[in-house]
Amino acid sequence: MSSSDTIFQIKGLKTQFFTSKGIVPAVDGVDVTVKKGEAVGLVGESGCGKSMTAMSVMQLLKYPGRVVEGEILLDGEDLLKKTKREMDDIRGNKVSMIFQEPMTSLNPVYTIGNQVSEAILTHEKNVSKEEAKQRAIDIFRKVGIPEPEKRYSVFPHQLSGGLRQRVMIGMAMVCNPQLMIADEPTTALDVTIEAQILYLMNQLQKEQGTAIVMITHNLGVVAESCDYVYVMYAGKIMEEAPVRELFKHPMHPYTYGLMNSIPKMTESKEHLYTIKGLVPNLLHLPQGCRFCPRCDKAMKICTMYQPDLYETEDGHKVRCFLYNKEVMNSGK
Amino acid sequence: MGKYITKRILISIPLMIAVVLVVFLMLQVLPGNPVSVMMGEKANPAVIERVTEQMGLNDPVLVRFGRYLIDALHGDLGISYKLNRPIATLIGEAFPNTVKLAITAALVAWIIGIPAGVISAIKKDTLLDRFLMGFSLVGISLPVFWAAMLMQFIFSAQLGLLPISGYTTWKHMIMPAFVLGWASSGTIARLTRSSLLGIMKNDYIRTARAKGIKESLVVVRHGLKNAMIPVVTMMAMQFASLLSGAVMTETVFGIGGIGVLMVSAVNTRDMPLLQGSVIFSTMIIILGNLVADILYSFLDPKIREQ
Repeated sequence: MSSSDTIFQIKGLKTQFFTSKGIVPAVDGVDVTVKKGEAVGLVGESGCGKSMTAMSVMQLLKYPGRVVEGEILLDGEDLLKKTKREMDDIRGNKVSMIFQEPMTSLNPVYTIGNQVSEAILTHEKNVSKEEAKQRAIDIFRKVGIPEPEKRYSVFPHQLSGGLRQRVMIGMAMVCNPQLMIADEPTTALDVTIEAQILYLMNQLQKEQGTAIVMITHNLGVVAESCDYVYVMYAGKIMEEAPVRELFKHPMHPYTYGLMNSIPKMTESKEHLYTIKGLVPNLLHLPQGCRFCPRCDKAMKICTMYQPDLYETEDGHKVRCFLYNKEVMNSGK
Repeated sequence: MGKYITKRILISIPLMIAVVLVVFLMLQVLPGNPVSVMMGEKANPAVIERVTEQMGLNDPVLVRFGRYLIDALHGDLGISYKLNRPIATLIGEAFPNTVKLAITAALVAWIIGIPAGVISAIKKDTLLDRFLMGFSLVGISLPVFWAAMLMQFIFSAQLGLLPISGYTTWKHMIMPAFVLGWASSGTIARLTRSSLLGIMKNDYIRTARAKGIKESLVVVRHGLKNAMIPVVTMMAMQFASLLSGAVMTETVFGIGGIGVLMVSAVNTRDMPLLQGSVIFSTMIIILGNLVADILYSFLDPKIREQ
């Protein structure tokens, strides 16, 4: 998969939190590959480590979290080997990020224009304040903020959540990054606004050729906006596939469960399907497969050994013994 | 913005009148006829009675209050019984000293307090943080008069570097400013620290970092401006209370300010002087709060709009 059009790659990333109760393996050996201009989804429940993967890439992990192993390659360069100052130059410039909380992600005491041109002035030293202002207004127009000249000098609290998220996207796109990480960008927004924001992001992705990593718990968002999907559970990738393939043919029992818990318009049911049990406590992980205690297809081997990612036909990779021929043939 | 400021000012006016009323009434309740205080114990009761009538002291309280209020608005706070001079003049003479003391002390407090708070917040839980917070706590806890006397002993008596009391040259201002400033700096440092620590947990700080801004700029540009909102309020209130007279410091260092004026009024039972200086001090406090509210609106755009 490391062909020349790969722009971003995470290899064997392990991020752990060193708490007083023990080591929490929030991200446990995650591999992700993103091609130029591609949109990749990272899906999972709350606490599965998807946001921590993003924060590891940005190197904005909070104490006591730390990346302990792995490589994060942007255009072939390992970000984990960069100094603090080099990372400052990369953040917001080559890799940018949008967050889940548009209502609180903007500084209340500065105008939105000021905050967007700050990103330009931070990374491009030869740009004058006037030019930065003009570019900020241009990006506001691009992300669909009405009356961008007027809005330039407006404070965040004067805008709705949807508009604030547009500002965040503008801020993330204004330096033409190679990669944009969007951590639940539409979770706090109405469904109608969600569709607009996703449309906008796809538009920008196509126009500017920016690769996107879309972090979400919402399979609908993935279906709408991604080319390739990784399903994450308890710090590990459980299944990965091109998006159509995954929806057509989910293989891992976890993915299957996730899809089944989406209500369908064509059926009428008394109760929604739910995956039984709870996300495991990362401090006390099961010995075998992490999904095993909640899996209705669990076998004996699942409680004892951790499965690898098995590659099947049609570009699918699944971390489940059901797809390991040797195991299945031996009948354990 | 203009609306907000006007509203604040309008709220201050009834507050000021209420304060004057309370001070006025409190001194009415105190026993003793001011005329007998003025004329001495051996005065003829008939004379006392006549003078009391002449001065209008037998009129109902509210009538006297109205008269006092109108005079006060014209800058006339009455005449001191003991010093036999207009109270407004006495306050006018004492106030510049208090102002000098307040400004120098406030400068010391801000110059020490804000950086100490910021450094403590950035270096949270390190030795430096503990040291700075300890230093602030000592400043808050030490009785001002004790710190003052200690400094007088070291810098004047032992080392002979600074004059021990009086308030004429800039050298006289150093010790009082430091003693008062240290006490106020402790509060500012601790408030700045806790406020900044709270602010640094906000989502927009994460956004600023994700933008690639240097950590020091994240703290100063995105953290501090937000964190200063409560600190500025505290600073303005402290400054107002310094302006209303620092009784201890003025007494120990022999500074003829508002504080000393009030104490001497109490000692000599000079009621009009006490009333005048107390009212003056409270006005300063109210004005200080008003200024704090207005400063607030410059820092916080949400308030500016109201």
